Parts: sequence; C-alpha cells; structure tokens
Amino acid sequence: MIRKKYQRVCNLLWLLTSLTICVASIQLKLGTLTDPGPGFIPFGTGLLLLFFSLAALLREGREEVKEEGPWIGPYWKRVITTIISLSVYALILTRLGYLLSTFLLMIFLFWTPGYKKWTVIIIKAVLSAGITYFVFNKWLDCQLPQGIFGF
Amino acid sequence: MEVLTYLLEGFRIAFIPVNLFYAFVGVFVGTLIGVLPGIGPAGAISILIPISFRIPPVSAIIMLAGIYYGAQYGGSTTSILVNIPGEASSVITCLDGYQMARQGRAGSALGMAAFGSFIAGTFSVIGLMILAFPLAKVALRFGPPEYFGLMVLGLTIVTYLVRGSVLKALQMAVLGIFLSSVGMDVMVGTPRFTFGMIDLADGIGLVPLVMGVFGISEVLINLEQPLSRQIFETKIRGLLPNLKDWKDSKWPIVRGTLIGFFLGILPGGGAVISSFVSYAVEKRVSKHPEKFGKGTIEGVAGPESANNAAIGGAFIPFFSLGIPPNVVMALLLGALMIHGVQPGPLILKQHPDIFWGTVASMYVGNGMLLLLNLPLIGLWVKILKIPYPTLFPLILLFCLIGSYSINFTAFDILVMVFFGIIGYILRKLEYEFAPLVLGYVLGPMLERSLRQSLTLSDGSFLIFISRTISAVCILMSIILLLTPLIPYLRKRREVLTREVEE
Repeated sequence: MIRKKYQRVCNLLWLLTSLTICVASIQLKLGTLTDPGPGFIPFGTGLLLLFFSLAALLREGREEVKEEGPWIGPYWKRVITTIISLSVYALILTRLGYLLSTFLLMIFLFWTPGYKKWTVIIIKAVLSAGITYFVFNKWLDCQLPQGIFGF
Repeated sequence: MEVLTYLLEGFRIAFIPVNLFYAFVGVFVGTLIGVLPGIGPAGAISILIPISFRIPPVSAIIMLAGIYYGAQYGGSTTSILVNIPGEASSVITCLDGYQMARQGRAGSALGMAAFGSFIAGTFSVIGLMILAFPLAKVALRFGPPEYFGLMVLGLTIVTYLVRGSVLKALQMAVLGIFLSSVGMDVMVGTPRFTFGMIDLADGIGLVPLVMGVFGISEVLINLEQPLSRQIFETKIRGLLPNLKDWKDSKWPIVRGTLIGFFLGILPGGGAVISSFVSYAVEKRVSKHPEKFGKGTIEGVAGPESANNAAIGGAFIPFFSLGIPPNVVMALLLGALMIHGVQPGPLILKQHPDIFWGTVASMYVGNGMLLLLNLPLIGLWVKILKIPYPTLFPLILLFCLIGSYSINFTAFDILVMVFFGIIGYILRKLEYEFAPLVLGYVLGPMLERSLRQSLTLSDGSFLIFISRTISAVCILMSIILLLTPLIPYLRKRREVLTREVEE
C-alpha cells in the first residue's frame, strides 16, 4: 500500500507539473497555427501531460496491488550521503581543482560502505584521482579544472 | 558494383591502423562495460563522447559503435556466470545460461553466445549495407510531415513496447519532448524555461540527462541494498560448442538474427526487446518448452543472436533517415552532430567514408570480439570479482568526468545529480527511461517538422493525413495507442509482460 500512496503523490505532482508547463508556455507566446510561437510545442506537451496524468489518477483505484518488498532499502542513508557528496563535489570542483576535490570525494565514497582500513581507502582514492587525472587531463587533453592550488 | 566499390573503400578506411585501434578500444570497452553490471552502453558512450571530439569523426563513430555491439557480447558473460545481467539485453540469457553454468556447461553457453552473436552481427551488417541505400533514396523525398509522422510512430512504438504501464511510458515520452524544449527556441531563438540561467541557454545536456537517469539512479538503487555479490565458482572448459549444441542452436540463431534485425530497425525496438521476443518465440516453437529455464542452449543462442542482430538493424533508420531508434543511437547522433555531420539521407553522398567505414569496421569488430571473448573469458571473470564497494565510486567518478567534460562546467554535474535523484524515485515507481530519452532526442526534430508542416499547410493539420507516409505512420500510431483500450488485446499484452517478467 505504501507504493500506492507514493504513486498517488507522484500522479498529483505530474498534474501540477503539467499545469505549470501550460501556464509558462502561454507566457512564452503560443503564436498561431500558421506561425506557431516558442510556447506552442511546450504548451502541447503540457496538455498531453495533463491528459495522461488525469488518466493515471483515474486508473489508480483500479490497479491491483502487487506483493512487494519495502519501499526503501535498509541502507537508505548511503543514498542520501552519496547525493549530498556529489552535489558538494560539483560546488567545490572548480575552486579546489580536480585532483584535490576528487581525492576528497573518493575517500568519502570508498568509506561509505563501511571500510575500516584508512590506508586502503587513501591508496584507492589517490590512485583513482591520480590515474583519471593523468588519462583525461594529460593523455586525452580534457582540461579538468586546476583550482586555486593550480592542480 | 557501386556497393562493392564503396565497401572496399570502407575496408580501406577500417584497416587504417588508427581506426583499427579505435575499433579495438570500442569493442574492448564495450565488452568491459557489458561485463560490469551497473553501467550500460549508454553510460559508457556518454563518458567517451568528450574523448571522441578529439579524434576524426570516422574514428569516433567506429569506436562508439564498437562499444555498442561489444556491450552485447560482454553482457552475456555475467548473465551466464553470475546470474546478473551486465546489460538489459542479456537479462533473458540468465534464465538458461546460468542454469547451464550450474550444470557444468558454462563453456558451451559462453561459446554459443559468442558464436551466435558473431553470426548474427555479421548478418545484420550485411542487411544494413543492403537496406540503407534504397531507404536513403526514398528518404530524400521526405518532407517535414513525413518526418513528423515517422517520429510520432517511433515514440509510440517505444511507449508501446515497454514492459510496464503504457500510460507511464507516454508520460515519460512527453516529458522528454518538454525537456528538449528547454533553452533557445529552435526556430526563433527565444529562451525558454531557462530561469535566467546562462548555463541553460543551450538546453539540458543529453549526456548529464542520460547519465543521471541511467547511471546515477542505478548506483543509488544498488547502494540502499547490501553490497555483497555472490560469484558462482565454476571451472570453464570446452568453449567450443559440440555438434549437438550446434544442431540445437542453428535455427534459434537464424530466427534470433531475423527477429533482432527487423525489430532493431523499428524505432523503439532494439536489443532488449529483440532478446525477449526471441526467447518467447523459441519457447513457443520448441518441442520441449518445459526445458526452458532449466539450462537449454536454445534459450541462450536465440536471444544472444537477436540482441546483436538488432545493432545492425538500428543503424538503418539512423543512417538513412537520421532518426535514432534508441537511446544509444541517440547518443551517436549527438556525437556526430558535434562533429558537424548530420546523419540522414544525404550522409551516404556527403560522407560516404563515415557510413562505409563504420559498416566495414563492424565486420572487423565482430571478428575482434570473437577473438576477445573466447580467450579472455578468464579475464572478464576476474573483473567480475571486483567488489561493488570498490566499483561504484569508480562508476560515479566516470559519470562525473563524462558530464563535466562535455561543456567543462560543473553545472552539468548538478544537472546529472538532479536527474539521478528523479531517476531513482521514478525507478521505484516502475517508470522506464527509454521513452524519456528518445522523446528528448527526437523533440527538437519533432518540433521543427511540426512547425514547418503547419507553416506549409497554412495551419491545417490535414497535411499529415493528405501525405501517404505520414498518414500511414499516424494511423499506425493511433492503432497502437488504442490497443490497450481493447480488453482482449490489453489482456494479451499483460500476459506477455508477465511471461517475460517470470
């Protein structure tokens, strides 16, 4: 039943999204049929989404509930911390540079599943940051960010 | 004669050492990511697209195509040995392949998967060579209404063929089209839904979107579960299938090849659907359907041939119409367009080197794969033993580098993470992402052709019915969309879906 509850919330969000798209598209100008404007297609997609979302809401009650496992796995905290770490990485990447920020991120990611040996974690983090830096920046000339420390 | 001359030229291009090198890199990386669960060909191609900017377009597409068909070969290894499909298209191989491994016949299963893939791959390349030319000639006469009709049909097929709810697939396809409208308007240049952000002026990047919904969300789903994996320890011996194996497999290979090739051509078809259909057909025509799922070689030979044949088929609409029939082809389209090459009917005239070089390299690549797969199976098994706690940070790192390197902006990483979260939630609610990405890729073409058609017809939608090709496409789309409403057909579809899931 939990999945059904989330599905209802999701369907309502679809509905809200489609209405927002329709309103925003009208503000962009729909144009005419002979000369469609920039809001024409987004408005069409908004209308279609609205139609499908309403259909999904109406169908909801008739769908049979399948036997299912728990909605969230036992290690859901890892998901949250990984999302936060990736977002922080995006914010510090250009400031700290590729090598340092990647080293820090990899330490965190290797540590996440519960590794205890810090030496192993640090070696893995150094190797993964160093090798990818060499391959992408030096060999493939990918211009990874240097950051304030210049590396 | 003309075709033969071009093919010889294609082989000359494919055998240039640098192209041989990139074909090898492609099939090697493809097999590797096929072996590793958690990162598919779409993810791997996304990572390597930035690298492809620095090499000539022919070499780039040779490498990227190699990843695509290489992944189909590699995917079977994990299915057979570990019961974990490396690729979605190898899911069905788990059923009989893993059982064969448990019975000590892993070698035969791996060997037949490799040989079947080789035979099917070679046939589909021949089919591509034969069909792409005439189709491109016909496509030269296509106008905006025809293209619009074809794209609507493609999107409808992809939503119809998903395993889950058609309604959810339709929502995803439409959302994809909407997402493609973010950025500058394709015709008048007005910024749309950019919220004043310069980073969104060029729209949402394909690579961050694909990596988010396929790569990041997959890792997040895995992370919330215990991370240990069981590897079935078995001695692999006798990689060459025996006479009985060949006798049992020859017709499944033929049928799988035909099914894969023709379903591959269909927009929305592709390797995944082909392998499922091939398995269902083999079970239906078999005199011993009860043996399926218990380790019968037909259950490996058919689907593995089908998923490889689908690759050659998928290149037909890609090269001759410029329409990518699936996510991976959409990425290839993006890569070629960055090189200034527009796939479509004119590519055979304007860039014959790219078409024929790719075709010839696929022959060569299939040979390389056969050589790679059989002797290197030991290596692939070792790679499989990399523990997930070590593997997932590396997958995430490659995704980060891949999305950053497209525009050299950290904003794309945030976009990728955002779509990773969306993908994670939607996966739990059983939404599928192929319609979303196809809708996103076809969106700009769809919008342009619709607006041009309406301008041509003075605002009349009748233009789509008055032209034969667009009328047929739209009629077929309507029929497909209406079938779930007919109780008998809806039940048939539900039964088929359940059979496949079981």
